[in-house]
Amino acid sequence: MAAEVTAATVDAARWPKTWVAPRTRGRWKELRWRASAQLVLGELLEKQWMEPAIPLAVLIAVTASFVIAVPGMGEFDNVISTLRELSEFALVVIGMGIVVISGGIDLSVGSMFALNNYVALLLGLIVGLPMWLTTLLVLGLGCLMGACNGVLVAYLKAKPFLATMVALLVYRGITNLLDEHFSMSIATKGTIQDPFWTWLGTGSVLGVPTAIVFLIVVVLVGHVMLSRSRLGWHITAVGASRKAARHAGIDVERVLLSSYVFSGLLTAMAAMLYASRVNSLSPYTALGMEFTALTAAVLGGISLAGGNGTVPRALIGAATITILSKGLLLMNVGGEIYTLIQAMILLLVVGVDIKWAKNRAKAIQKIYINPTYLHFEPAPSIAPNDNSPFAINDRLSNSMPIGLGVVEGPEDVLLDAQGRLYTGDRRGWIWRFSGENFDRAEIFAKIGGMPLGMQWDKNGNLIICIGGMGLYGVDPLGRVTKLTDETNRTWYRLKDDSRLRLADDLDIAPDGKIYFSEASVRFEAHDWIEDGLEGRRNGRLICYDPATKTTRTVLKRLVFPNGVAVSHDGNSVLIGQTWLCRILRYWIAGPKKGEVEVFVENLPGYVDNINRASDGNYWVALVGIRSPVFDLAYAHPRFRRRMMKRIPRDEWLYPSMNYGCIIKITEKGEVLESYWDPTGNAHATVTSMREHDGFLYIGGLNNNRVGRIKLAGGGRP
Amino acid sequence: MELPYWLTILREFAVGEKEHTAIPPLDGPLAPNNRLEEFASVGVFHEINDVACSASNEVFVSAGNSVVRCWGEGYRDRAVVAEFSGSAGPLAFLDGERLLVCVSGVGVVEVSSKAQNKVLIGEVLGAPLRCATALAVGPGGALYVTEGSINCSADDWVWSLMKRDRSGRLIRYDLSARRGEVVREGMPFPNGLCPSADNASLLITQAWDHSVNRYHLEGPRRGEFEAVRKNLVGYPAGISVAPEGGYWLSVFALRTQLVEFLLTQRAFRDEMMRTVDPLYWIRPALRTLNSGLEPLQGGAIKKLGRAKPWAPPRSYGLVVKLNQSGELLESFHSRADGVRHGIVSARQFGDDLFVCCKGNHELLRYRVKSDGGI
Repeated sequence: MAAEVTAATVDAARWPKTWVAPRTRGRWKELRWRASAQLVLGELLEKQWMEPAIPLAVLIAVTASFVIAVPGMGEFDNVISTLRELSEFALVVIGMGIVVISGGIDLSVGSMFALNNYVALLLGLIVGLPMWLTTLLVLGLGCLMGACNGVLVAYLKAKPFLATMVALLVYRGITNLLDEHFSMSIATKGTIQDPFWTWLGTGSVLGVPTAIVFLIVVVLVGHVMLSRSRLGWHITAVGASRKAARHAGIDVERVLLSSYVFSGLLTAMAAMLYASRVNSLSPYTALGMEFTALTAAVLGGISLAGGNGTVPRALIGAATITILSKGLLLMNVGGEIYTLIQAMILLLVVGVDIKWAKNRAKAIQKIYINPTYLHFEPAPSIAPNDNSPFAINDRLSNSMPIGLGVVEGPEDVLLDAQGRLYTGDRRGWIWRFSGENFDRAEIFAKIGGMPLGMQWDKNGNLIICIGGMGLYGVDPLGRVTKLTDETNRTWYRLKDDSRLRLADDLDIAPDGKIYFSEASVRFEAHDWIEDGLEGRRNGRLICYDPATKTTRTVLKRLVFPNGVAVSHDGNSVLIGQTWLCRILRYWIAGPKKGEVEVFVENLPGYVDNINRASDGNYWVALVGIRSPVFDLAYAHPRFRRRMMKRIPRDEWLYPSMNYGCIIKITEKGEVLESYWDPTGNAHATVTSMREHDGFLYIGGLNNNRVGRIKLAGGGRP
Repeated sequence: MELPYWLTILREFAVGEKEHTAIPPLDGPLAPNNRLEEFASVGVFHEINDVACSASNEVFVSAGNSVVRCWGEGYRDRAVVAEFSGSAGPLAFLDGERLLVCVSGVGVVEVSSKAQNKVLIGEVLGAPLRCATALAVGPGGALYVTEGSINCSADDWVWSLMKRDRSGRLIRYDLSARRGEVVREGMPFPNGLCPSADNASLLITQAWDHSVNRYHLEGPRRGEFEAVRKNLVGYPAGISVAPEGGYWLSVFALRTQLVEFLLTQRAFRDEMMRTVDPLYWIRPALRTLNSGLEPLQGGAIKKLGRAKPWAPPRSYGLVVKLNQSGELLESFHSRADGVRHGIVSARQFGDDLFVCCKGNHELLRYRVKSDGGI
């Protein structure tokens, strides 16, 4: 039988009535707080594709203001011609962008453009090559010129700025030389009459101008290349940190070379589009284009420091510059003023963008957590002398310690048929204790993450939830296999919830399916308190079927589901909801299959693991007990939000986790009895218990031991 | 007047903070130690409040509703000399023989040897004196009393904090004329009082603005009230003169960021005060109940079976030695994992420092070195 309650350990005066006045429930408040625009905003800003938000906003603003302010800007012809110009320019900007992302700079794009243009027309007019061949040759020339830059920078270790500046002068010089030689003879020639050339310059594909088709193809291929391919990742890695990339085994020289080749190729492509459209032989083509292109790249949000940028961003920057110049042209604004305006916009955008990039994470942090309104009825009395099943006693105070000082944070405990004890550890290890007094300790497996709930499957494998990793299996020899770490994604959620963040506890149904809880999809395992203070329906129940190896989410939008236990008859699953202090019953078989009902609610503490007891009842661990002030804080979401913003985490008001207990509940949800450690010395947090051979084993997430007490006439579950 | 939260933010933004109000760290002379835990215990006195020493070297202790006389070897002989209807608070000897005691809800009472206690000051200017927090005999035989609040009794001090009540008073009582006058009012819970060593001024602690102040009784600045020490780490209680110079300041609880934050949140505070038992409020306390019903702060979660001594403390033990000009010299702590919390009074008689540890219901004694050093 349980030990007598002694005056020394249980001081009645410490646990009197806690609520002195009733509180009203705000039902409309509950609904109002459930929806949160701030929550959507927080998750939206967190997306990586929100990084160029400022450049995109500028593009939209510039476009809108010019369409409204400049007559003719929005006309169809003008749109088409703007798009054609954009295509040529954007290709150059993308080339420049790739070089900048790789950590360099390419100042020679303007003169490469001019030389390519000149050579193309020269080959067409003087040599009389067919234009498709000319185009291929010129693209090859572009690659060659890019490669020259690349060799200078990558292999001869010239500074990119200097090397490409020299290249700028050289290519421009060659163009001037060619012009001196051929300008007279060209003047007598007519124009190029070639169907390919006409198609390239003014034709269309299915009604879409050729140049635009080229741009679309390049943007798509370029984006996939840069963001999804090995080479693309290598370019970004080299730009972010050349040293780290080299240490990671990346061939830095080749990557650099290829980025300059890309720049040359794209510039040649742009030159071909330009040449075929304008047919102008001038050595002064694209003077100063390198600076416009650089401006566009930076405007689009490509970091000059390297390692940060995408093809769409280059496109955004190019579009902004093109629309700006086109609009100002239509407004008859002179070139000098145009340059000035361009410079000022660049200054503004870069300034704002730097601030944004720097503070984005901070802004997300400020608005990410969104506490909601929850109402609690006064908790049942836990006063020691009360005639309540929750009355505090000291049944856990004198438990036998197992692994004292060896284990650190045994969240769950499990015993095998030989009576050996298994428990997880905050270091990601699984311990096995054996011997008469469990004094033989060995590390059974090292998995990593935060080992939480455990259970045996039919074949004697240990199935375990690992917070931060997923669902794992350990065979009797200690070999670890991953069962699953993802489930189906909710299509309407901004936040990607396909990965398992905080798999918490599991149980296995008679048909072999593994039901496990994921406590939160919004917070990591070590940030559980943020989920607790938020109090939202962030968790879910997931089912893994070992037969088909598929994972499906079966219940969504649960407030912190924690403990999971299949009922004695195998027809339902009990789900403990920590912050709501209640247990749900989810029917997996029988007439009520698929239904969810509340099994027991308004418990005096926060529900953790649930297990079947040998006598047909259930064991439930309460990880902490409800303090009246924390209950009250749940009804004051603004108070919680301000608290989290204004004071450090260690000073926050927490759920009262230093005093936990174990309760026993019948199949009908009646509470029979409770087991406490009122001193908090042996078992401050109680996160789990397991009945085995007449003993009850106690685990605790923050504890330095597993405890064991003798039960009054219990058997094997 | 308490401004709405958003207005305080605006004000902070517009004019900045006028003075430093952030809780200072426990550093320098306040570096934490466990010296209070090492003090010798004189004995257990339930709800001890103050200690005084008579001319014949007998020690009087006010504890609970009574005053206890202690004498003999190790002060082991004890006798209750007076019992009251409210809790007995600060003690003082008048002319070295008449024992005065502040009684919560009653006023200042003179304990006479024939067990016929006389209420000396029951009211001041028609208002009952329910919350006398300290008394001292000033120069010229005038009696000075601090009244923590005119709105609550001395046992309900936490109510005064949570209401952001500033209705404390400093009272001068003329014994011969049997008449009291209010020297200063609107004070944030004056909680300790002692004449300075040269008798030219009074030192007064104010709990809710965490300060030690000086009230000039003589000289060119007569009648002026000035802060000597502001923004203390905790809520000061009693202050007393150290014979070798300086003062002993007891700090009954440390300020925590959670309480400071709570004091800016009126709606939550009001509902908490209305619906929750005061024992379980977010508040500074004289002792931790070690009950799960008390609010818990993140840093106080037990890890691997241990409470952290640096956890945000609900209760704390601290005695500070100040020099003549109010600078901190040295401190004695009982940290979050200790038990000697809630120090309400510390007085030195001869070489012995007596410390009233209300949190642990204990009178402590510490032998101060004879050369005056610690």
